Amino acid sequence: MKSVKKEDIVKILEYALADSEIIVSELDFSIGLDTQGVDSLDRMNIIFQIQDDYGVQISEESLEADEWLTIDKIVESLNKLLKQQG
Amino acid sequence: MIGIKNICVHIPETVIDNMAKTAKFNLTADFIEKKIGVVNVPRKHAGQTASDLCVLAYQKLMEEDKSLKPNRIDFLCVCTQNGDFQLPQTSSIVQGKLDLPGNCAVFDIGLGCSGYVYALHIAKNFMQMNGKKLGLLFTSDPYSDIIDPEDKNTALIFGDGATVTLLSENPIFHIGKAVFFTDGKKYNLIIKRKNDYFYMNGRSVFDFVMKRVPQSIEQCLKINQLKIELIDIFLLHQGSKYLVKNLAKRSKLDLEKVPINLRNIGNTVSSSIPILLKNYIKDQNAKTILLSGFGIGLSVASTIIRRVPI
Repeated sequence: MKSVKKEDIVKILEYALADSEIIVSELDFSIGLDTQGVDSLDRMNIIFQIQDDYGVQISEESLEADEWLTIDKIVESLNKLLKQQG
Repeated sequence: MIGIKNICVHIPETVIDNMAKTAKFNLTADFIEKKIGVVNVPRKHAGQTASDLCVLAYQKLMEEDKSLKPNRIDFLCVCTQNGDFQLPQTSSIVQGKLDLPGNCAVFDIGLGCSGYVYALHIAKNFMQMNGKKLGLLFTSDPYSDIIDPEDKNTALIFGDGATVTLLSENPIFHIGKAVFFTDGKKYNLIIKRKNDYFYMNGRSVFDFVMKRVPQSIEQCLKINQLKIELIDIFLLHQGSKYLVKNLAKRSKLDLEKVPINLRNIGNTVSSSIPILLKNYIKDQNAKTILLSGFGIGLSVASTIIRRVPI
C-alpha cells in the first residue's frame, strides 16, 4: 500500500488553491489551514480532491473533529484511512 | 421540429444586500464577492406566488413579441418545486391568469436545478407527439418562501426569479440529445421537510457536482457526436461562483465560454439556465450551446442546443 507524503498533499493544495492568493509553499504544515487564509470553500475543495485522488470517503464526523485541519493532520488521517481500507 | 424561439425573464427589483450581512455571518466582503459571487439577492414581494412570477415573465414576452397570439398557445408547462399550493398544479393557475385556450395541454414538472433541461425535452417530445405548435415553458421557484434567513449556507445564495421559454415549430435553437443522472440515495442532502426550512449539505453536494457533472458533460458531447472545442458556450447551473469556476476547471472548459451571472441574480434554481440563455438568443456567434443543470435529487441533466441557420 502506497503511503502518502507531505509533498503529495502539497500538490493537491497547489491545484485546489491555484485561483486563490494563498502561496502554498509558505503554509505552515502544523497550523490550521483555516487560520492561514484557506477559507471554508477552499477546504471543501481540498477534501474533494483528496477523496477523488485516493478513492476514500472522508466523513463529516472526522472533519468536525478537526482531523483534516493541518497539512500534518491530513497526511496522518489519510494514511490512517488508506490503511483501514487496505 | 419543436425548439426554442425566445426566452423572457422576470427578476424582482427588490434585493437583499449580502454585503450588509458580513458581520452577522462572520464572512468577508471578499468571500461574498469572489467565492459565493452573489452580492444582491432578488426577492419577490411577500404574498407573490410562483404563478405571479410566471405572469410577469409572460408579460415581458408579450411586450417583446407583439405578433404572438395567446389563442394559438396550445402547450403550457411550469417547472417548479414551490408552486402556489400543494394542490392544484401551478400551471393550471397560470393558464387561468393568462386566459389561455381550454385545449392547451397544461401540467407541472416538479424538478429543481436540473429541471430546465428535463423540461425542454419533455416539452419538445410531448408537443411533437401531440401535434402542439406553440408552447410556453415556465420556470419559477421562489425559494425565499422556504429559506431560513439565519442560514448562511442558503440565505446568501438563492434568488427569486421566473422565466418563460417560447417553444415553436420555427425555432431559433433546435434541442439535441440529453443525458441524465440521478443518485436518489442522496435525496436528503438537499431537502425541505414539512414544517421546516430548506436544508442543503454544501460539502456533499459539492462532492456530487464535481464528480458527476464533468461526466455528464462528457457523455452529452459524446451522445451528440460533438467535440468540446465545437461548443461556443457552456451554460452551467449557477450554484455559486466557486462551484461554477471549479466545475469549469475540472471539466477542462475554456473559462471565457462559461458565463457567470450570479452577482445580482443569485441561484434561481431551474431559472438559472434560461436566464443565462436569454443573453445568447440574438448572439449569432453562439451556435452550439451546452446546457447542464444539477442539484436537488440529486440530479444532473445536460443537453445541447444548436442555432438554426438563417
